[in-house]
Amino acid sequence: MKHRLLKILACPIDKHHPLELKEFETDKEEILSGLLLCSECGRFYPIMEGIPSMLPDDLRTEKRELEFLKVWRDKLPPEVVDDGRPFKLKSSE
Amino acid sequence: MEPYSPGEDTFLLADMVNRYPAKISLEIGVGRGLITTILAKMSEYVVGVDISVDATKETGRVLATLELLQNVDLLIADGATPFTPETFDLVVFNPPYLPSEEIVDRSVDGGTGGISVPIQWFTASLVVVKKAGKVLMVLSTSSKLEDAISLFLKTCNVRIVARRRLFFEELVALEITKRC
Repeated sequence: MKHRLLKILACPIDKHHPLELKEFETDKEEILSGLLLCSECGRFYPIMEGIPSMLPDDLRTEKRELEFLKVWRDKLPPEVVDDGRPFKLKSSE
Repeated sequence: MEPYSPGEDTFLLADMVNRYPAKISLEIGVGRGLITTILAKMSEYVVGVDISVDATKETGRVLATLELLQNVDLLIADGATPFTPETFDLVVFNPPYLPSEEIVDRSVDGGTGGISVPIQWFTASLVVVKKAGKVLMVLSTSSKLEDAISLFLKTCNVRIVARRRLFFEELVALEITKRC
């Protein structure tokens, strides 16, 4: 994902804009791993293998996303660990 | 989920997309990336979404091979839902339009009358397309085409810009312009 996309991204659930970007892994201009956070509803959207995933809750894959969160545990903001939506890392551990 | 493979409907949309230069365009359902490669040449900036992880990745590989990724961003999303309002000049899609009681295969099942999913995509597109911006889509006479068009006409001008006859149906390419 490139930074330019942030200008037009909104939370698919409540349309909040702008979303907050947390970068975990980058290659030049490209964000390979990270999170997009909605400060309105508290949802996180993962950027995995360079691709942001902005699906509604019922289409998200809990297992894949929790595995991703575990990989980046040390870089996660506390609110995602304790209170992340739709999945909490803490309760799954 | 398997990406949708290009069919007659894709080619009809491809012919149409070739005639619409734009500053910023959105493609819903990139599938295997055929339309995306055309948009990349016709638009200054293209955003492509698909609900399928595999489709998004495959389109990324196709664009990378053709060195077309400079002005294209891809993401996984359910239609036009994750964008700011009035953002795009052009929204393009070949929606699933097979009449179905429920949605089992998201790449082909269009829901009730084959227009329930196309109408959902249209409604979300209307929010993110600019005033006087355009939505280009393909529908089939095997779905309740007239019902869909009357709904589009409430907020938009609709023009049929191409038709293609197949064995049991006719495919119709629509240019839908947002009035206000």
